Amino acid sequence: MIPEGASLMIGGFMGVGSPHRIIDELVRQGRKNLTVIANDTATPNFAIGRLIAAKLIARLIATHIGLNPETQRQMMVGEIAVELSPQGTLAERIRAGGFGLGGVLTPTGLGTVVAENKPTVVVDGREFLLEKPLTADFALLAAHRADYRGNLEYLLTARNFNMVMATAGRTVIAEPEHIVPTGVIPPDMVATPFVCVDYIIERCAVNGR
Amino acid sequence: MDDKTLIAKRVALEMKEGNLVNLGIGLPTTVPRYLPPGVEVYFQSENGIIGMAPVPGQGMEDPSLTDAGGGFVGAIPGAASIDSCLSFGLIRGGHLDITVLGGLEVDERGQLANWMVPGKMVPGMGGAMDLVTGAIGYFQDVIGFGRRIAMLAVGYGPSEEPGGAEVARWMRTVLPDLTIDWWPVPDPSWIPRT
Repeated sequence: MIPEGASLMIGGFMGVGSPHRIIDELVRQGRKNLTVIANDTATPNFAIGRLIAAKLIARLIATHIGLNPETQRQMMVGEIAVELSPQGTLAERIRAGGFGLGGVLTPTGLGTVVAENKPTVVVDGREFLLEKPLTADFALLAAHRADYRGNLEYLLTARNFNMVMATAGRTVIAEPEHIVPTGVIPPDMVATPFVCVDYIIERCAVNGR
Repeated sequence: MDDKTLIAKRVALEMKEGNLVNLGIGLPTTVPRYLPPGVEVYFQSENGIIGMAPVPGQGMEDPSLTDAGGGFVGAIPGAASIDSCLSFGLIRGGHLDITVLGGLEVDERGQLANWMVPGKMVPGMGGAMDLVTGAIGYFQDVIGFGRRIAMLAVGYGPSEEPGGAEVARWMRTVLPDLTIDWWPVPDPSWIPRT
């Protein structure tokens, strides 16, 4: 379903809350030339680090790649184009893309290289940086449970970017650990409503997480 | 006592009852070990939890509960799971009392101007920039409350001193009406007289 050259948002923070089974399948099928939007690239050959190790990513928008030396190496030699974005800014850019907003006005990054070639806007005397919205062809999420409709429930810090990315992918694929009958997840426990989710695929055991 | 333990112990002395504290990757995650007895603070981890606690013990690790470095942690009763938007809304919006940034991030402030030079280490800013922006919010609050002096304490190693000075230089550009001083303090047990 995911073609070569697709743009992907991938949930997770250092691999916690990442869709490991879908990532494994992308590696197995060798889908090349991907654009990936994610918080980080985990560690070498783990989670999104597996896509890095397999050299499937051409362009990366992330906040932190310090714990994956291979990402840095590929960036240095020009194999990957990397755009680094402050973490709160990345989250809000994805939200803007998913929520139909024209951009984000944030003070983060003013006066630094992050602000280069970006317009600033003054609101009530305070200066803000205008950051553009982000969307992607696919959002690949991990969740604790999904019901048959696609309502998602998360656990603890595995929630991270999954919730907001569910709004910003043109096609949203969720990988829950368990798929349960509709109604098992109470409405108050649903963090991502089914209307955001197009496909669900159960985790099965991969990589121990 | 090694340098890192010393810095962590010194930082822990800054914690006050009821503070909401953010801990970055690396050294900051060791700070909770050295909290003064009887002081209860709430730790936010930027990856999405308020009320982070030490890992409960070997075999009790929860793969869905980690700190910003990906290491296993625990949670206090009454902890709250939050997503990345809310986590950084709290950070950027000035809702934190204390931010503890690791040496990597402080160092990086000084390196920012060079981060696209080939061959140099480029870890990325992660959440550090939002956290420093939150600190600006803290200073603006202090001004709003009519106080005349505020202090931001940053633990650092000697190699990070240029980075610290760079932070001060940058803050002067953001808060031009405020006198901002950078004091390198070699003695980690130094406490300002109030």
